[in-house]
Amino acid sequence: MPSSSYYTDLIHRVYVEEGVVDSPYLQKALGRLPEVPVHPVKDRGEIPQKDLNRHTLFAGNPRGQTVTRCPGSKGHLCCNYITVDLYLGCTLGCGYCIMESYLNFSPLTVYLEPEGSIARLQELARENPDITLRAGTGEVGDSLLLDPLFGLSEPFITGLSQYPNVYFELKTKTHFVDHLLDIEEKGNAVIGFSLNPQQHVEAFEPQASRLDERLAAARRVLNSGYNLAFHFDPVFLSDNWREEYTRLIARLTDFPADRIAWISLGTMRYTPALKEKLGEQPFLYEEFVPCRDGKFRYPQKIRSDIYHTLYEELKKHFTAPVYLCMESPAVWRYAFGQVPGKIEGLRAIFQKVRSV
Amino acid sequence: MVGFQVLALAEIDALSGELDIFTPGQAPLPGLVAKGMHVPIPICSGMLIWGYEILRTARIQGVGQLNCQFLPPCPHQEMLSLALKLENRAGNFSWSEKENMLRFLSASGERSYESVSIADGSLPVAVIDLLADLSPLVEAHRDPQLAVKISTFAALPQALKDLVAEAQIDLKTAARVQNLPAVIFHQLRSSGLTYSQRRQFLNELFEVSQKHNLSDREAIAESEAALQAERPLEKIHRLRFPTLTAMEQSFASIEQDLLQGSGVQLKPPPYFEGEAFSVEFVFNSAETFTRKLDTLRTLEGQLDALFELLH
Repeated sequence: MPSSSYYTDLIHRVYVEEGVVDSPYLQKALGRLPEVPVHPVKDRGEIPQKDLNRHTLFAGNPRGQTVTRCPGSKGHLCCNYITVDLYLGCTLGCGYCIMESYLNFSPLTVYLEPEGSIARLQELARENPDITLRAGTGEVGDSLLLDPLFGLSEPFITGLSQYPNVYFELKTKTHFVDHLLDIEEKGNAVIGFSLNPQQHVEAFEPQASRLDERLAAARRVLNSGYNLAFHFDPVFLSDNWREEYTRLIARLTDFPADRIAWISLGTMRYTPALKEKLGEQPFLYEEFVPCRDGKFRYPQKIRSDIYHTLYEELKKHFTAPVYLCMESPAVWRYAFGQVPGKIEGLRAIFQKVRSV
Repeated sequence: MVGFQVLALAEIDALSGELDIFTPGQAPLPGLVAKGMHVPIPICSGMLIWGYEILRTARIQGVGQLNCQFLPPCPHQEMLSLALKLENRAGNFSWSEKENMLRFLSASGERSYESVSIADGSLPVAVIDLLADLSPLVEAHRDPQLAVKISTFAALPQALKDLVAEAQIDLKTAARVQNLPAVIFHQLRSSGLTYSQRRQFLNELFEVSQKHNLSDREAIAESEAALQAERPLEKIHRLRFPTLTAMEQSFASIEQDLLQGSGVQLKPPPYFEGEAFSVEFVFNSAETFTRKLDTLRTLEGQLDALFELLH
């Protein structure tokens, strides 16, 4: 559990929307932020310009849909993940993060009334009893960075535990899991860890937890009854990428294969706007080419080689579905031999959830 | 003291010359200054705000006194604003003049004009804002980042400053590549590359140098070799994108060996992203159609090599 001082270093002020002042989740969080000034506001628009940054936390209600399908990427195959907006923004400042391109002048945002999102997921679960519904809060923020403060993941885990077709995932680059261990009704909840070799963690994810800490946290959540997921995303090309990632995979072989829900792979990619924000990052000196969705990726031949190598290595140890995040049908075929719809074990998780 | 006065040159010389920041330009017409037909020289808080060119002309022509206008005390930005209005050259100031403007604005209180550093990247926000407000008089449009740009320019090595000042490369590229050895910038000056080619050349050379951690000597050697090549940009591009250019060369070689002169065009997917090649040809008779198909059949033996380019 991160200390209060960890959070008071991150959060310098809190703006609270009128309707959520009495939220028990907010009161819990403020209890751990005793020195941090709290300003009630009518809505987000009242936050002064000077405070529109990542040291400001805005607690409020969402304006639109919070449960949506991952938007995917033109010309690339999407795994039809359901994204849940809960924690928006991140202070981990990873050197490659897409959020750098659009959240710079945004406060960290927390939506404090999870009941609507939980009810919507339950509804989708009932409407799609024949489909594996994968949903998670890690799309526009780290699922667990602020969760020890607010505890908003717990009602999701408990509220979805009775739905056997729902796999609710908390995706993180932290080791902040201890507040989740004693939750009794876990259902199929999945704690997903984004992984990279330690030298890349140090170079590009300096504010995130060390690899050792993440793996130790994975062990703790596994022992307490959760499923695990591993995300190798972004995979970085380097002179020694084979050795680096093979060693990383070898470190996971202690985890029981049947408790790993899925594993995803994605190589480094960026939009032109993100590149402008990133500045001089050493990984940008590799070869990148523009793809159909406007993002830049390593050339297809290189990506296929990376994916194929990691896939073969993972298959030696794990039975979990391994999938690619935002890749073209060509790369799927070259790396895996087939597109996901034709791969046994992947068909289920790539099936589109109806009425999202 | 406020208002119009005639002052002797010796009195004017005793005033502060901190705002003598503009490159000497067109002198007033001979004889006019001697007849007192010139813009009154503005003076404020013991500083000569504008009119240094008139003063120089007066000295050359042996004129003993000049018309002056004493103004009420005002802050530096107002003095500079007046000087810029009288200079009336928005959009045509040189980089060194802009450096002088920033230095003048930055010099206040304990920071004297001589001691102020504008290239250390720590400009006060107030100075950035002041120059942003004055920027329409400098650039002919509002530029909130003008002070930052000038500071960036000031920090460049001289060889790059010269290239930027001569509009041979843009400031952004110059700032990015400034740690490349200066010899390269001199080489580039005589290279015959266009503005955009110089920009691409420097950016790609810089990225190659960063990726492979090239020593100065190695970077210079790569630059020399590329600039001596028939197509310098292609040469540097091959270094920067070795996988992609190798694929392009392999493809071109297959295409040339088998299809050159046949009228059959073979196309890979853009950037070799995809899984299909396309062919295109035009025919106007059964004969030409058969000939094109015969040509295409020669590709069959190279299909593995072609698909190898995609995976």
